[in-house]
Amino acid sequence: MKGTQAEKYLDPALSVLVEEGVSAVRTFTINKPHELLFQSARDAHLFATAMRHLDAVQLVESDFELVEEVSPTKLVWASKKETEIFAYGTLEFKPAPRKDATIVRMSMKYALDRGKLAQKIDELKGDEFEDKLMTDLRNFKALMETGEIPTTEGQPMGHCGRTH
Amino acid sequence: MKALCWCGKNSVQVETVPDPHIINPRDIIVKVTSTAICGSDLHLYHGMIPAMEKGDILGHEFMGVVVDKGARVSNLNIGDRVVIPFTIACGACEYCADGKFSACDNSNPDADKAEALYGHSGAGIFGYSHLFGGYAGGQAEFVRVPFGDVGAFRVPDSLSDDKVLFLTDIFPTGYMAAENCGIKPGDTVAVWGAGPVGQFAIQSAYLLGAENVIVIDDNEDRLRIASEVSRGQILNFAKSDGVIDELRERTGGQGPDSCIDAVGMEAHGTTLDALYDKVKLAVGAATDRPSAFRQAIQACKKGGTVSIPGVYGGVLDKVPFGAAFGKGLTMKMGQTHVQKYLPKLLEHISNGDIDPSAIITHRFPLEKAAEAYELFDNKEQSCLKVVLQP
Repeated sequence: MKGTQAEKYLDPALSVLVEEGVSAVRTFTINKPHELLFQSARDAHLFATAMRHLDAVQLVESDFELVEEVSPTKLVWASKKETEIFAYGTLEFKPAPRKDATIVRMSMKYALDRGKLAQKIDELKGDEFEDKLMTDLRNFKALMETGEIPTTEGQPMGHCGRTH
Repeated sequence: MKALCWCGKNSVQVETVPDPHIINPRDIIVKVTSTAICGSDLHLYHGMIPAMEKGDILGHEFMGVVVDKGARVSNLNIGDRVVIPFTIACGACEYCADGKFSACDNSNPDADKAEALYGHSGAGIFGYSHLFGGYAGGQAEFVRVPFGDVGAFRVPDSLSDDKVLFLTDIFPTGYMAAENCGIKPGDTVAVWGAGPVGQFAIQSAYLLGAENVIVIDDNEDRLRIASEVSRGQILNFAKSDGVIDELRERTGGQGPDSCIDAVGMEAHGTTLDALYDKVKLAVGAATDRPSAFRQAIQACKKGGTVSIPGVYGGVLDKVPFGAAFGKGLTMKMGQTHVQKYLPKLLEHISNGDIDPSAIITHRFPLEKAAEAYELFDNKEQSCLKVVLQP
């Protein structure tokens, strides 16, 4: 750790704060060698591209820093001290039984500093936000395997007589 | 552009909607030259498939010309004439690498919905509900094809649209159903449903070496085509004292080696269990009417295979699983891995082994697609397969 809010997160004295956050954990098998995935996941731009829910918590790529790195098995991303919302993401890599595939366990956690944006805690809670986190974790897999994130945003749709 | 939109149960209409455009770097845009109505589109039409939204553009059997492509598509050129598999596949995940394209891990942006219902999500599908991605379909003048570098196959100009259009779905679907039977020389295969998939299942079973193929339906027009075009031996269940007894009689007392259920969730049987299904469905106590599936299990030879290309959506009631276990049956099913089969089947068409266009009975301009749905749904005018021309 490098003195970021990740330390606070791990401080048992602040465990209540963590309880008030939102988290999601997901394990995927990604059809790429684990060394390659590890290197790709070190890229802040790529990490932020997959984590589309960051917009919802007003975080951008430059708000994140790599705080722990155990090559080639583990990476920890965390938001910088100055951000009001504390975000913490862990990616753990291990070779899958299938050749050139990797089991990736990804977790994302969010919490708010006491007194800061506390009123937003309720907004961040709930299934909908957790679903977004899960989608982001899936996005990471898609981005790694295919180079893009599947979407239908922007495609045409009919109106069936509706005016809006 | 003009596109056919789903507007609720038994309601579709052609509307003017914005043209599609490139969204992701592996997308292509296709100007549709021919598109067809699939039997499974009728499940959407009837409101049997959940997660449809008013305004969704239908259609998963279509072909055309590439008019735009994303920056990462290097294997196609503008102007290429292509057919498009109905299952959208990334070509890079474990499943695609194994040829299981319809199980693609990365093409369904609504994967969470399918996971909640089915445990895991399959591939995205054009125009087939938000369980399968909510992708705009190809019963339209233009369509966006995600992962176009994997999901578009060039076809030679020497083959007309009519000859190659059904490579998008029903020919590979019938073929995979037959392949799933593991047919050996001398085998007898029974096919429930003489619709388009059933017709291709019959022809594919012969291509794969079946000795006899028996087709079960009650529609005389379709049975006639099954006999004359597909060379099936017909069994009209409405005129039979009992399908299972008759199949046993025709197979030396053993039952068919393999049974293909090309009917799926909306069987129109006349047996007691079929009536029970209709009542349960009418009161919302069931999701599917699986009477053809039940019959296939009951009829199948010991140690045989039940192959299921017919679409099911929910939880099936009163399936005789004891019979399946007791006879040691193998069951194989699922959406078609079109990308796997398409090159081989294009070769069969090129060689003249099979002429898919023989099942086309009707043509409509896209503007009259709503009328075409109604006609196909009611099986009026001996309708077996409708092709729409944008």
